Amino acid sequence: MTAATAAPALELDVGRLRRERYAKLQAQMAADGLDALVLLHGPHVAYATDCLPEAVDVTHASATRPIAVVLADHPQPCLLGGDPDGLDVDPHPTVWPEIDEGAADLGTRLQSILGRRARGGRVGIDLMTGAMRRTGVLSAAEIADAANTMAAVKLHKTIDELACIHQAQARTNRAMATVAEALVPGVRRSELAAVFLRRLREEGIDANMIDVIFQPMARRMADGPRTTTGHLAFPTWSGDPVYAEGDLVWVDAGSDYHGYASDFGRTWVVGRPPTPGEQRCFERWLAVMDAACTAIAPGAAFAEVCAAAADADPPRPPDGDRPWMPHFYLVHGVGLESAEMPFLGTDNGPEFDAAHTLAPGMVMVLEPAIWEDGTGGYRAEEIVAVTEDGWIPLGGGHPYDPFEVPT
Amino acid sequence: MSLHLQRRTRAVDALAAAGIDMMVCGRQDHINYIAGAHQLWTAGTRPFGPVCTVNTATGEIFLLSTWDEGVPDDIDLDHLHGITWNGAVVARRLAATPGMADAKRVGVDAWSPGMAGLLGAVAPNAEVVPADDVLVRVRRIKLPSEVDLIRAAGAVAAAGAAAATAHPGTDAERLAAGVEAMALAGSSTPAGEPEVCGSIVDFSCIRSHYEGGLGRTAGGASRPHAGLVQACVPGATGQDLRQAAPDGDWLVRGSGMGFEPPVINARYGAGEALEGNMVLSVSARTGGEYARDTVLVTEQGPEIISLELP
Repeated sequence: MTAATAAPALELDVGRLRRERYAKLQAQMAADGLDALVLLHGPHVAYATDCLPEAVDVTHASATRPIAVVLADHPQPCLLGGDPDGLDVDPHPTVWPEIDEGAADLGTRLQSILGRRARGGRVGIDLMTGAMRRTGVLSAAEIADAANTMAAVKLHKTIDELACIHQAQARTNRAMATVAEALVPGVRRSELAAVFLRRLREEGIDANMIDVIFQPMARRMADGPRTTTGHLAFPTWSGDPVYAEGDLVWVDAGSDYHGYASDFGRTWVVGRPPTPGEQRCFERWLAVMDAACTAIAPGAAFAEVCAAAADADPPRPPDGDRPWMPHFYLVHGVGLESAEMPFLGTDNGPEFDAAHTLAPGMVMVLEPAIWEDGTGGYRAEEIVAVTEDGWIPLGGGHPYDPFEVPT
Repeated sequence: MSLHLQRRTRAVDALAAAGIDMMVCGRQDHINYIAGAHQLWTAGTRPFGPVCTVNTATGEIFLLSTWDEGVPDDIDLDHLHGITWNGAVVARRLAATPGMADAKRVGVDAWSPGMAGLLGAVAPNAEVVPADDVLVRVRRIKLPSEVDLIRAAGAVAAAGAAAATAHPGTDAERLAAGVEAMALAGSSTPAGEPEVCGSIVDFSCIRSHYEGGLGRTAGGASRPHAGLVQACVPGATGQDLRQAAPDGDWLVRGSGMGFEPPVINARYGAGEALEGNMVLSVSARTGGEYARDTVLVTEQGPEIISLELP
């Protein structure tokens, strides 16, 4: 990638992270006219309280979930359940809101925390379980959508949020360096996953947020799964393929550091150097990535970045598509969620991309993809943060092996 | 009939009997139960959104998936909805789903202010009601093939627990070894959080949609959950389990496509009643010892279906 501005020190200061996020949340609640927020979604709870979500199945994460309650003008949030040890929160007992008895408990607890706000106050909430609806939780409050409030505060990252993403990415990169060495003809996907999960733990990461993807790509779209877009299928469910020499493997992984996600993307070739055609796809991808990065600046419209990327790889028959997958985007954000705003180049369309602009603190995962049907293609991801005068890379970079970057 | 079609039939019949015309599911476990598709696993809670929509009159399924990889043959490509980032597209699709415009009752498995507004617009004549309880009630009683899959997942979790028990080193190193062994044995997706703390280990996983898990205390003389396991018979109530429980922390909860009702502990579930062919995760921690097993409730008594470690 080309010119980036000088990187600030990305050292996590947990106290500052919590203070700055909570102050932003209070300010946004005031702007949204909210008396209180009741948060059940793990990343939202983490934002408000720093109680980090566990990387467990959705059923476990939901059944025993901690819940955050934020009151306007109160110095610290309430945390129901979770582990309050060492957090700056008012601790409350666990309730299990997926079952009716637990939801009734939650209703009683909210009455006592919210006081008069529970009757006619304006309360933002991100999700209600069926049990909460059945037991009439918050039925006397004016309900607002907390998703909007949370999206607003999450969009621009503080320096400590950038530090977390940087750490997550650097550690994921190191784990993947070991996995790359293990990719030899005859190895199975489960063996690569085993190496990756062990190495993550060794890197001090206990939160793998997505079942790691090592997808062997059919060289012709017609030989791959059928799709609603008529384009590529990626990432599909994992299965347990055995890799053969010459397989083209698209890799994607994401794991959390202090609740913040990494996003690793690379293309690997099994057991041999890339063919000239494969290398050509990589060089087209590099040109798109360079052009997109050059267009990144505070104040730039999303559409300017998309146009720069598309212009760097003009449509060529028989493909004719823009150089990213049509069911995804050129860019997605990352933070407490593995994909969050900003989204550039989605099916929200050109008007959306023209109407939105980049701003300092936004984190962008760029994921162009090049496909030459019959040859295969190249896809990888790079992660950058928009600064006051440009952008900085996060994660410290990762080689493109076995592809060669032209000198 | 294949397992996923048996499950779907049970779910659709129960929803129809509950007066639900259209069901909108966002929870992956409900979606897996009904659709039977293999979709990419991600950790943690999710916002509520329409991923699988069911017309209970026709049995038609509409699934959010850009590709047919992992999707059963009985769901055609024209019943798949590709990933979208555009709320207007979501609304248009829901409105166009056969049965939605005329629906009188639309069931949901969770609720959010944003989705409530959207459903109100696309199904203007419908009452939107929570129906997660209908699905959960069906799922409590397992089919024989489901029990087989739970046993298979349990064997994978046992491989993780055995590796962590045998591995020398710090707790963190043993945990890494357990996670690695579980992936090699067939699952890179945990159910709950794995635990290695001195002599105590607990591992669980999701494999082919189903959960397996167990917990052990190495060298432990007693099994603190033994009385609870013995009490897991058809007709036993939550109150009966409380009387059988040891001092200390304990939990009896359904285990199938993850963490499921019934949920019975010292606080919740006194009024629950166990039935044959429930599968339960039974755990207790007391006096420095911990154990967890997966238990099948049968007319002949409780059957532990998690494995002994070597």
